[in-house]
Amino acid sequence: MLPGELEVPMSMEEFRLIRDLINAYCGIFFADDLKFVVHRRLAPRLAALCLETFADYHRHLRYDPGRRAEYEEIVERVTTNETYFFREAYQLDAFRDEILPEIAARPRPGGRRLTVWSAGCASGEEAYTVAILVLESGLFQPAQVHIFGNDISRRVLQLARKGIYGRASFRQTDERYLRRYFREAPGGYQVRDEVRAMVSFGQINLIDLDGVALLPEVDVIFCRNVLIYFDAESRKRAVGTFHSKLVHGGYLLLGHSESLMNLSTAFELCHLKNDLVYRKP
Amino acid sequence: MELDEVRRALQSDDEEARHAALAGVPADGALEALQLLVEAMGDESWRVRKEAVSRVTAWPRPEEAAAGLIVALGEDSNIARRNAAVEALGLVGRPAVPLLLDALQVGVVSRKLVIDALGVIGDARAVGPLSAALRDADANLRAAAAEALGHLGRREAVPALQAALAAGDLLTRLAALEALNRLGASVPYHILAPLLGEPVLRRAALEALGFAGDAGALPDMIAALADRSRGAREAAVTALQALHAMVSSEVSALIEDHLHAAPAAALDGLCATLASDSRALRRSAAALLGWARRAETLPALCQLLRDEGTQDVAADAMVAFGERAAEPLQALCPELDPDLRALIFELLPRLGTAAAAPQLCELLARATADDEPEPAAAAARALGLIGQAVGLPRGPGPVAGLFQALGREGQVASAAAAALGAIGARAYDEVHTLVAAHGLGGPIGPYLCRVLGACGRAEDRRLLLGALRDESAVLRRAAADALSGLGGEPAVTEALVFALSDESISVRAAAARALGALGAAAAAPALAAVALGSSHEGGDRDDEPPVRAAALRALGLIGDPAALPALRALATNADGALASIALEMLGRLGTADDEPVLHAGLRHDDTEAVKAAARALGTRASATARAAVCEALGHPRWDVRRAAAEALASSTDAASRAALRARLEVEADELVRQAITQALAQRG
Repeated sequence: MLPGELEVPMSMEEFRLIRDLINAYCGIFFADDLKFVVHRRLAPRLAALCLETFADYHRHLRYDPGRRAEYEEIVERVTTNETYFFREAYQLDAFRDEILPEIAARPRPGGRRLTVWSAGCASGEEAYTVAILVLESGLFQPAQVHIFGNDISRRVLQLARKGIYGRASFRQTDERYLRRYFREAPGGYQVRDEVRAMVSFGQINLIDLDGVALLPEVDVIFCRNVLIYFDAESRKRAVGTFHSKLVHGGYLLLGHSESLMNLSTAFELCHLKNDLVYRKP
Repeated sequence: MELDEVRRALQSDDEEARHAALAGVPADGALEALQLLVEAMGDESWRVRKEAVSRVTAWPRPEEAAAGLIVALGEDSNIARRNAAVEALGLVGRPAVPLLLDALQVGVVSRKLVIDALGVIGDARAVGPLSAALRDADANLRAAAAEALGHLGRREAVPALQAALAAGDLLTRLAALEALNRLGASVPYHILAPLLGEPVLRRAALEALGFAGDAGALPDMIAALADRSRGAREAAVTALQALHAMVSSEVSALIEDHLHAAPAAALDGLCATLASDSRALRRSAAALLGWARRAETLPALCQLLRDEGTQDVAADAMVAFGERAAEPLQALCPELDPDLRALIFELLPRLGTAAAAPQLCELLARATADDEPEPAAAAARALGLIGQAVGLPRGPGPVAGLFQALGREGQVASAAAAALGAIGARAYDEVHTLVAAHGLGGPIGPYLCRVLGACGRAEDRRLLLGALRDESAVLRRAAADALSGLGGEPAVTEALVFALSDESISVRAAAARALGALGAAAAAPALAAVALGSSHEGGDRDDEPPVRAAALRALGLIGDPAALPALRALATNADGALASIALEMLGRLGTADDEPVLHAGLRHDDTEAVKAAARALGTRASATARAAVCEALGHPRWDVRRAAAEALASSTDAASRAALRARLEVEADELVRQAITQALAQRG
């Protein structure tokens, strides 16, 4: 809906009350200068719920028995899910060439295995990229590899499970990988079954401890360009969760503009040839 | 940690050790410790430098810290320390100003860095010395002084800066021009015109034309929209918008005429600016294109609708085209993707009578059958708005299209129902004939109820009362909702009161809402019983919070004092939804006897209830009520403090005023500060 005479105004007070509820629900934080984004994306919800004002909407989010569904609707509307295969290649090189061999060399009761968590996986490109890199490395048997992807948005998880992607998702993908790990399908290319078999997806809110408890301990966590949407408190909670889920010696890979500065001192900085990553001591 | 130990640690090769050592510097104010911190400001690691700056600026005697920092400005061998010292002096602020002004006069340390620091601090005492520095023999110093004066934001610097525009060197003139722009100072066009020919000054001079307020500059500004330099083009865009905002309506019309007649290259320059990384620039360029009203730019403006940061201004620009936009937009629509089609449909009603053109309405009618729900819903909304505002063209197409759309999925059907309702308010017979012919049964029945509710005709009550007895709960709820807009009569009240016994929660809540909206006083006892729930002896058994909340609110809207016992009983309910409504309604209807209940509301666990209690107490005249609201000014939640400040706006006593002032002294939240300031202003 366009702004102007068609739209219900949103006061700064209403914005902050609703913004705080969104933040408490999923950690995503909107600074004051992003009021217009929240306003425009949520304005259609008033008509859909037969509400007249954003104060009514705030009340709906506080008290309505069906409010959980509305929070999920909000997540669909306010989250940014832009991603693609083989994003930030230098970091993926570090994962394939340095992290995977190091993990493979660890003595493990029950033999070699690998568990990776793609935290905030959106439509799944990152999780499948990880699976492809593991296959390419040849260091692990597919059956020994478990890759988990989570997101809070149902819509993107549906896309991830389907595994069909349009051209935009392959902007950084080598033709060789495209031929080997994807097949043509209506609407684009579908991830081949052997890759999909390595990846599981679930609807988990990163700041919901009960949800995260459903994941096993993992060797590597990718959480790239997700925490940037959170406020400091939610970032700390998420990073605390990552720490609890990583095995000792496990790796945390953040986006290129992200760091743990002022968030956690529980990780050590690990200087790899291709990248700087964090490791749980 | 002893100072020697700190000194040793600061020599370590390990960045972490040096960073940690700073935490060990004693904060007892010993001069040696300060020197160590200033020394550390030159560390090779930015983290260590940042930490050192933070500790120096927290030094207990700021003048002493400033003196140490000014000495560091003379450090030629360590640029990092000098830069850190400028940053730190800015953070020390006003206490550093006298020392910096002395240093500027004496000239032992770098005067340029002293000027930079004064610019960062922004204190008015520096205006005179900096203005004098504009005449210094050193060109770098002159430029630094001009830049600092721009940062100071003091208009008394304008004459000196304007005089500096006549300086011999480009550097000083550029810095002076940029400072004047920063200050928003008006420099006469005849002074700026020669500067436009200097490539180095052209961008800043164009920007300055925006503040000059002289329509004589328009040809230069329009020509610059086609400049080869992007910086110049963008400056012209900014300037034209600034000029438009500051001049009379006659002159702004002249600007629009110039833009309308602008050469194609100037419009190309504007369209290129729509792709700028700067949101402000994109918005300005879109506004200018709206004033230009040239059809060939509509496709570029359409694309801007995708961007949330510019969507509103792009829409305004297209609406500014008026009827000229109708045909080109109609031609564009089939080529656009569904999202963009939907956005175009949404803005069509704003074209006024031009939107009611038969071809455009036919296009919208066909679009209600679009495979994609977004454009279909948008087309329905557009038809509703056009039909309501100016009426639809003759012929069955649009209304029939909307009727068909009622059978589609959620958002399309909702939009079509709202549209038919809006059209029905103007062309009732046309809409009603279709509804009556279909009846309220079947899957589209609930939507047809909505249509009748929006039409607002009393003669449709009978049809809706029948629907209130239907086997479908969805239809019964829709009928109750619709009846709320059709005016009250005993038969409607009776039916809605009986609907409070419906087995469906949503029907009961809708009936309660409708009774409230109709102001049905006869329903007050029944609503009170529902609101009280099973805790009420002899009352209804309704324990569903949404139903009880709706009943409570209805009681408040009806305004019957008989509702007071129920409101009082629920004001302390543990459920925040119920308590907050009861407290709000007590604020409207209650008496002095209710004050204890309102005071208790301030201690509720739910902040919505606390806010409602504060607002209700704000309507009371007693000193105890005001004192309680004053106390709420210190609540940990910002929204409660804001509600308390708003509640005190009508109080005239000295104690409330003092409490508001005291809170303003310490309040950090901007919204709360605004509310306090407004409350104080309201009472003079």
